[in-house]
Amino acid sequence: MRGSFRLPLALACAAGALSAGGPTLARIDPPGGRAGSAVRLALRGSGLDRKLTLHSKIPGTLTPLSAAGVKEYLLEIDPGAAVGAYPLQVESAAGLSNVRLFAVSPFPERVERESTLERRLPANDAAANAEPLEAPVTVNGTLDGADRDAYRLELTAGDALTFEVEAQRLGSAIDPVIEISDEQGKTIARNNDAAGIGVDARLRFEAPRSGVFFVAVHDARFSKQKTNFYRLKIGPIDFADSVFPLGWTRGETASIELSGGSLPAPLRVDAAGAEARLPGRRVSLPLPLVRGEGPEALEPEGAGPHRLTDAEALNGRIAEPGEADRYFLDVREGEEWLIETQAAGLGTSRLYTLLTLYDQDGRKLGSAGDQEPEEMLTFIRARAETFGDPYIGFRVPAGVSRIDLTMEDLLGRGGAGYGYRLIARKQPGDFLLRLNEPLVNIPQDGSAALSVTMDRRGYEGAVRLVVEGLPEDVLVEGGHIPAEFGGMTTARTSRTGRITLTAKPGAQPQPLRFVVRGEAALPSGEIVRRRAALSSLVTLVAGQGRNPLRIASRESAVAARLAGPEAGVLEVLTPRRLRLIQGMAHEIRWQFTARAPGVRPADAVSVINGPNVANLRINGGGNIRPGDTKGVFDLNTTMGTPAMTFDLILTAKIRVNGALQQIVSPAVVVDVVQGYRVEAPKKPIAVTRNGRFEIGGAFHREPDFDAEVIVQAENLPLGVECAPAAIADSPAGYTLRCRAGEVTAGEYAVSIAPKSVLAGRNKEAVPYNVAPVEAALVVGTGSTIATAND
Amino acid sequence: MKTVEFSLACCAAAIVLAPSGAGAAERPTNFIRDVMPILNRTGCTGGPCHGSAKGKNGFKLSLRGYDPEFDYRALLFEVSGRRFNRAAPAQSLMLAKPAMQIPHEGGLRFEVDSRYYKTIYKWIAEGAPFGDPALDAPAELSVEPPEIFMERPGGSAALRVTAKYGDGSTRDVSSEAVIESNSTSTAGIDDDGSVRGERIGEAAVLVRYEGKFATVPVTILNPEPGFQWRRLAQYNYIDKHIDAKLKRLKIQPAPEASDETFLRRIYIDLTGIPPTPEQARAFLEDPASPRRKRGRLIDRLIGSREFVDHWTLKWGDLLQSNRKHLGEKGTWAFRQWIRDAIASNQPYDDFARELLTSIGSTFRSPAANYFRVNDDPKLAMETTTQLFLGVRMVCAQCHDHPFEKWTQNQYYQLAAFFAAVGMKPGFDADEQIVYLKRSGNDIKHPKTNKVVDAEYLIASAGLPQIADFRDRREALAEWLTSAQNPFFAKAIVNRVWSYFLGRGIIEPVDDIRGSNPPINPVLLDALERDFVASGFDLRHLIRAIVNSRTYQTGIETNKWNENDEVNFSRFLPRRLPAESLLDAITVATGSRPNFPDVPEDFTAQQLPDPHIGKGGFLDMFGRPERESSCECERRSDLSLPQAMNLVNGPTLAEAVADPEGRLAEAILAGKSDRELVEELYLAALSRFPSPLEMDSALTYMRSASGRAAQAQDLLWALINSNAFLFNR
Repeated sequence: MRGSFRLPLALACAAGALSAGGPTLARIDPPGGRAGSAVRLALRGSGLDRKLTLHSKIPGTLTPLSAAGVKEYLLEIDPGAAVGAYPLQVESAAGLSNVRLFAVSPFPERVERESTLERRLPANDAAANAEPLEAPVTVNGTLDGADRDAYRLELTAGDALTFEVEAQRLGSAIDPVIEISDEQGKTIARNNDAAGIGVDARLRFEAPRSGVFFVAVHDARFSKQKTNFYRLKIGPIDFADSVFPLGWTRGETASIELSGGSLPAPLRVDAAGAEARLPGRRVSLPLPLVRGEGPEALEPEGAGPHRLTDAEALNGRIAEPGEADRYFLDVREGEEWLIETQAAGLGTSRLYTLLTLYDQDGRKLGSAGDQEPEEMLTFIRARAETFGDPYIGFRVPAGVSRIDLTMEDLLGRGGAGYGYRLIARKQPGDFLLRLNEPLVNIPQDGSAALSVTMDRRGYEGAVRLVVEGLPEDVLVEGGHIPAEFGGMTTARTSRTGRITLTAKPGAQPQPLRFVVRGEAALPSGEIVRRRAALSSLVTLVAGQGRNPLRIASRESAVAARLAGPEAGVLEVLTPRRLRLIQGMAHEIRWQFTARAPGVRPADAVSVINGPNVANLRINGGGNIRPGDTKGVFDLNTTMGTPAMTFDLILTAKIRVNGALQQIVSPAVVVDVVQGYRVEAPKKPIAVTRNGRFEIGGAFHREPDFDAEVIVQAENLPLGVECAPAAIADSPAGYTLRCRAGEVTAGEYAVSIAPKSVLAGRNKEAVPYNVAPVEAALVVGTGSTIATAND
Repeated sequence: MKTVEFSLACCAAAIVLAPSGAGAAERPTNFIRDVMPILNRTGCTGGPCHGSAKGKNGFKLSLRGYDPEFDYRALLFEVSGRRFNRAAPAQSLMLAKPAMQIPHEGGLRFEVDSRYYKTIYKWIAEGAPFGDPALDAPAELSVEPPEIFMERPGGSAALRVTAKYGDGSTRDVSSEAVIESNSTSTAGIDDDGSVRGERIGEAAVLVRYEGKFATVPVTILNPEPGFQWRRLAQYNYIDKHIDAKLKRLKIQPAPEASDETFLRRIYIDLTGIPPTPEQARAFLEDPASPRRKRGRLIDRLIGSREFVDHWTLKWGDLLQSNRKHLGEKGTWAFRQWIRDAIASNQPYDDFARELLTSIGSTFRSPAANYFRVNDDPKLAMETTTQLFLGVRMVCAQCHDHPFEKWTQNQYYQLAAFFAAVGMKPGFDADEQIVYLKRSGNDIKHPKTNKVVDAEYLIASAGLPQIADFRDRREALAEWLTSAQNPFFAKAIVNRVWSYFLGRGIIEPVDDIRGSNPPINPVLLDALERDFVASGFDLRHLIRAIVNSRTYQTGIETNKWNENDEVNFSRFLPRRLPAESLLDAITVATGSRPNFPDVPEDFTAQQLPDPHIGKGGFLDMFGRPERESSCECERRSDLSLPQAMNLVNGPTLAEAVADPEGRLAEAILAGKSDRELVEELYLAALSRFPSPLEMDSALTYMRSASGRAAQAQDLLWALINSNAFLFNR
């Protein structure tokens, strides 16, 4: 069977995703093969016992073989297949699996003896029991905990070979180290974390004499990892360790310079996709490229400073140690700019960016990428302070018409591998969105959730997530990311929002593809839309102390599937849109319905996606126990709870055929609102001395707020009196009747202050006052009555 | 001329107020030269009194008078000047209180008719001038005699202490000087300051006066008649200098240790692990002369994998390589960096320089982990000085060093070298990036709140030349590692010496100061010169030490050296360090300790940090936590829990009874009782059993039916013997 690839793939593992029920690919054996060879490919994981469809980009054919307990295929790799890492994914009626990568290499392949499933022995932990190899070769091995795999090679003096371990780049959690030692056990070459390939290891070695050499591979921390495979490649491998530029506009062919590594001189290649590869067959895996959505430019020749263009990605490089690249922006006082950089965070650059900003007189205004004296923080509105490539958002101070920027390496280094991308945008803050799950399986009549992390880049307002591309029989709910609030609530630089996707009754199983965007209204009224970047191959790491692996996605849309029914459904019985009045409480009633006999929540149903702000408490009242199939959550607010919109999602784990699956309810959208509010008169009110007049405006009352509201005017000028107005029902407006005596002519600001009283838990009177609004009175000398009731 | 700003006014007042009858020849008093010594001598500036951090009863003086200017201000201007009454000096609180004319919590410090009272009275009457620090503070301190040599205990020697001032004048300050002994059981100090010989041995007497120090070595000889120096072989300059001192002190060194003793000692000291039975047998049966085969063994062990592991462990301790500070990957990376340095025998000055100037990712440039451990300029300075110079600066953070010349200014001047070091999170979990800050990279003096410029510890080294673009640490590293630095080479040779001989020539090894003189300065100088001349080659240094007869001396005492524990006249047995003890058990029993999270074949020497096996056997036997660079973190004590663990604990019991261990394998291989006993002795004690031991062991082996059980008993007994537990 020729491998098909109908669905767009995000390189992903479903671990941690809230979409449940689909198959899981824990491992593929072997994780790679030689071009032109046939490989017996075994898929291991869960949910693989059903009828499967393979989605593979491996250049070759896949033919199913029958084997008990293991899904096996005969993979015949095309002889002309290029070296690379190719995604493989399966689909069953239950949904899509995560993605695993299969590497194609140019050398003969073998499996480390210790890794063979049939027998764990003999061990190859030391030189004494090292496994003999003959170069060129690729060894597929595993490191089981504090394991060390030793291999033995006979080399002739002058043999120049590349030793390379592919692990992280293929989705393994191993952080490999290569050590070469001589017969006396003396280490003569070693590498951990080679340039340009993340934590993977690579070294070039020339045998100083003829004889036996030992190669050992181990994890840098001797840690125990669940995904623990590696591929040790030994042979005449060409590779580059530097790439420039680091990216280019999506869809355009880019001319990329590859250099360093085994290349005697820089080499230019054309790259149409998201990676740059060396020509030839005996090459290392291609280097990933950024594919930008907007215009791109190369750093101009000359010392600079060079003008930056708004929203254009500039690709530059710190070519020499100690070099500082200089740019400038023409700005106006009060403008808000965001300057972002990409370098070491991409993995293809060694540059630790130090970005420094000066005014036209050379006065330093601020910097990002290092620590900053406090006196500069007034200029900076947003800045990367703790991790990642630096960015800086700022408002142009008075008297500044030009901003000069320097790009440097924080450590003063430079060279071919010190590329960067620099983007300046004129806008009052921005945000980035990243999908945390690259695929989603939507059960029939059930819901799946998709989470999106928002990194704030100076924008502190609310964001609404929207989905594009889904059919009508999928209901999209949630997607509200609240704004940051001051006061008691701690502002955060990152927030997670969630969308739930619910299949309507009768929705037919089918593959789907969609994109997620975030929309925000800037204070200026401008609407900003940002597309959520796809997450990528995420391997959850056993133990602690290591970041999940992320391999940049080459796809632009989320892969999804309308799948078979879930074994249980979590429903929300109360309305899924609540207007929750500040200071009041609300209930969310839920119910679990089993779709298969004996299925119950394996633990207590819980709520996720709360906005994590002060003065908002969500609890089950201590009444929800593991295994309960119905219950109530309480939402409690105070008058200090910020007015906002957020989503709550109920979740539970159920056990199906021994495996735990996570199910979710549709999102419950909560609007926290004031019980009532008044609006100020839209125009100033003309008042004549010794005359009468009225102050009036709109009045809004929440349906659930039934207490009487007294509206009164405060801070009136001397000689003016207004009678309070009591509002017991829900009129569209309020009117205050006022009388003016001997009032000095002029313009006055007065407060329209609404007040109310509620009964507390113990029937005590609890004031419920909302913030007053301001009205303008203009006192003239006439005696007519002016009405400004709208 | 440095004067406090108000001194002129005071001097003017002094002129006005000076008694007209004062003789022209009599020098006017001043605070620095005349009053400050009294305050120090009478204890007013002591830690328990007004020198404490918060002062006493509202009156604060600098500790031990390290800051006369501060003290002068406190006396003159606080409590509305009531401490002085120039018109009626006797009414001054400064006199009335210490003379107990009015209540004084500190009690009587001097009588009304005492010299001290009169001096202060005169000073107040003369207008309480401050004096000129350049002229009135002592420039030098000399002590007579400069060395005390007593033929027997019970003798006494008076000290005459003379201060010399900037104007060339001198003063006998014997009464005001503070005189202390570093070993009162050897040399006591009488109330009048004279030195009293208590017992045979050596001591150092520290004389302090107004920030100046002098040390007087005291030697009390063995009065026993009949000493005749018996010359032993001298293998290198070390033996020559040791013997010179011993001969002078009438101490006869012990003869050389046997091959068996040497074998175990050199393996443990160089590699941390005793030899295997095969290695022991090969050495002991080698017919070459002891000197020749010992030399060959030394050459083979230095640079071996086990040597690299052992010294990586030692440096891991000193550099605090610990995942608590560095994270897991950082710890492994730092360990590997140390290992590479030792494996390549990186010159010690390069090693220090690379650490001190390190920047970059703590994963990719592992030396930068030094600054992850020492993540504050002050901490980095304190660690650096203690580790590489053997100088403890920590006291000087709050005040001038009480027993040394180091000042609070110097503390911050040195810390300023590290003030630009910044750190930010890297791109991988637990990764940090060490970099140099372009701004906000100064350190301020806590008293003045002014930026302090970086300066070397030794003024004679001149001012550091630091261009704008240059890392201040480079200037520091250049000075610190130079051959001219009086501390750098001295500190490491002393430290390395202590690893082999059990104590430093200066002890503690990381507390080098004038008041803590070397026991054999000539030897220390020679070691230092040789080390510098070798290009800071640590292996050369080690080779010189372990090839000396002094190192190879036995533990036996004789009539003339039985009281000597400091002059290296015999080898002092010491308990095996925790890791060596566990590895020795491993060698003896052939059992694997099975550490978690490291490869199966790892020895205790190879463990990356104290996280592995935490709370177990190794910690019980004193493995350091790696929380400081002090050698004192490693405990070599003997305790009841340790004894109980060896007698009853699972570590030894399981190792002895290991089904795949040495004993089981030997019995399964059909070894005879004699062969078995011989192997167990070689494995546990690195020697063959004596005929008597063999007979006893065979008798025991045959005393019951279970051969294996009897052999287990024998092995257990050998491991619990002093010969096993101690390096002798």
